[in-house]
Amino acid sequence: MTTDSSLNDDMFTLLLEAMKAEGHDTTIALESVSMDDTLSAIGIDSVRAIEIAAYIEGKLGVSFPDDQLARSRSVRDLVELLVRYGRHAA
Amino acid sequence: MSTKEDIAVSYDVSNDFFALWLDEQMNYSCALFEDTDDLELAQKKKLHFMADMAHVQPGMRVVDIGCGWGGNLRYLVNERGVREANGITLSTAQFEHIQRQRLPATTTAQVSYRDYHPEEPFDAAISIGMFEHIATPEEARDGRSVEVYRDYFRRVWRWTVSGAWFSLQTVIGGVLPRTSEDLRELEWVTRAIFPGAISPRLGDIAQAVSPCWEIMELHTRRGHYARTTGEWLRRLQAQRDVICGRWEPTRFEEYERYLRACVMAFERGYQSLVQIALRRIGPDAARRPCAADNLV
Repeated sequence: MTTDSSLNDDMFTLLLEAMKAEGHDTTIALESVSMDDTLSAIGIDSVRAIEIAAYIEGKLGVSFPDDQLARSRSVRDLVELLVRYGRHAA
Repeated sequence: MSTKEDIAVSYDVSNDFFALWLDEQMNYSCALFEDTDDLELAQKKKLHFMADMAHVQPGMRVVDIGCGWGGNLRYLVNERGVREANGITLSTAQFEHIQRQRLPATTTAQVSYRDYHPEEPFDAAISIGMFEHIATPEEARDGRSVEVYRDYFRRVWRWTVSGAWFSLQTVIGGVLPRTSEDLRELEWVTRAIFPGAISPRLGDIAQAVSPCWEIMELHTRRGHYARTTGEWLRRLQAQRDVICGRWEPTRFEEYERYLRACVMAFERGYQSLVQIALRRIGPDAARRPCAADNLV
């Protein structure tokens, strides 16, 4: 059984993988990205955020709601989106 | 909302330039292609439809919020027999154009809706293609759109008489593109052509009308805007030599790219268009605790 905590960790790891796979250079090393970072602070604009989310959608076979995706401002927002909608696919 | 400088980027480019590819009345918004393929007629059908949704009758005083180059003001006076058509716009080029026309029974103010205080209430309100300028992209990302839109609806409530109708036409956001190419094109349009503007989400509008207005009728017109922008693109391309002769070639290239992106966005469902008929709730709606003197 997957706990919420390990699911969060899994999704965070998946997010980092997506950033790397999509070739997005963050302004800090990926190893230093934390849940509390805002996307803009690590060099990810709104367009890049959607590109990263699209990679994860393909990977998990899910679609995230557009309104929630558009309002994701931080790494935590994205991870929560992944946990909520990727839970059954993970 | 979009600043005066933002608005200048979008609308103060050159009246002569826009006249080369818009319809004769210079309606810079979605036309209604019902039983016609002709842009001129389709624009007139749109104005007719919007006036009907606002329950415009001869002798009324009507406000047009974001009146462009005055096409709707002219229509309301000449075709619908209104007593007074009052337009507001933030664009200097549009305001001066309307002033030069000396339209009868028409007043125009160059003012933000936030600073507009009409002396008498209006019998009806119409707004075509202005709502996109109310919230900024930053406000939308911060989740503040609904409160900004609600403030707008509250103000229009204050400008109108009990029982008034308000017809609203606006682009709305559709599905978010997931390909880099489409995302970048739409991002470019916002940055280069419509800085400070953002397409509202339909759900946000539906929330924000409360407690002042009731949605009575709603139509989506995505296909009609794909056709309108397609026609603008065709006309622009037909004027290529004229445009490149009078302005820098980049002017033509930028607007061709913008209109191609619009056609793509409406055809693929990234953007849509909505026309909404609103009935004023009253007389106490805007006096409820959340409203009145708490404007943003």
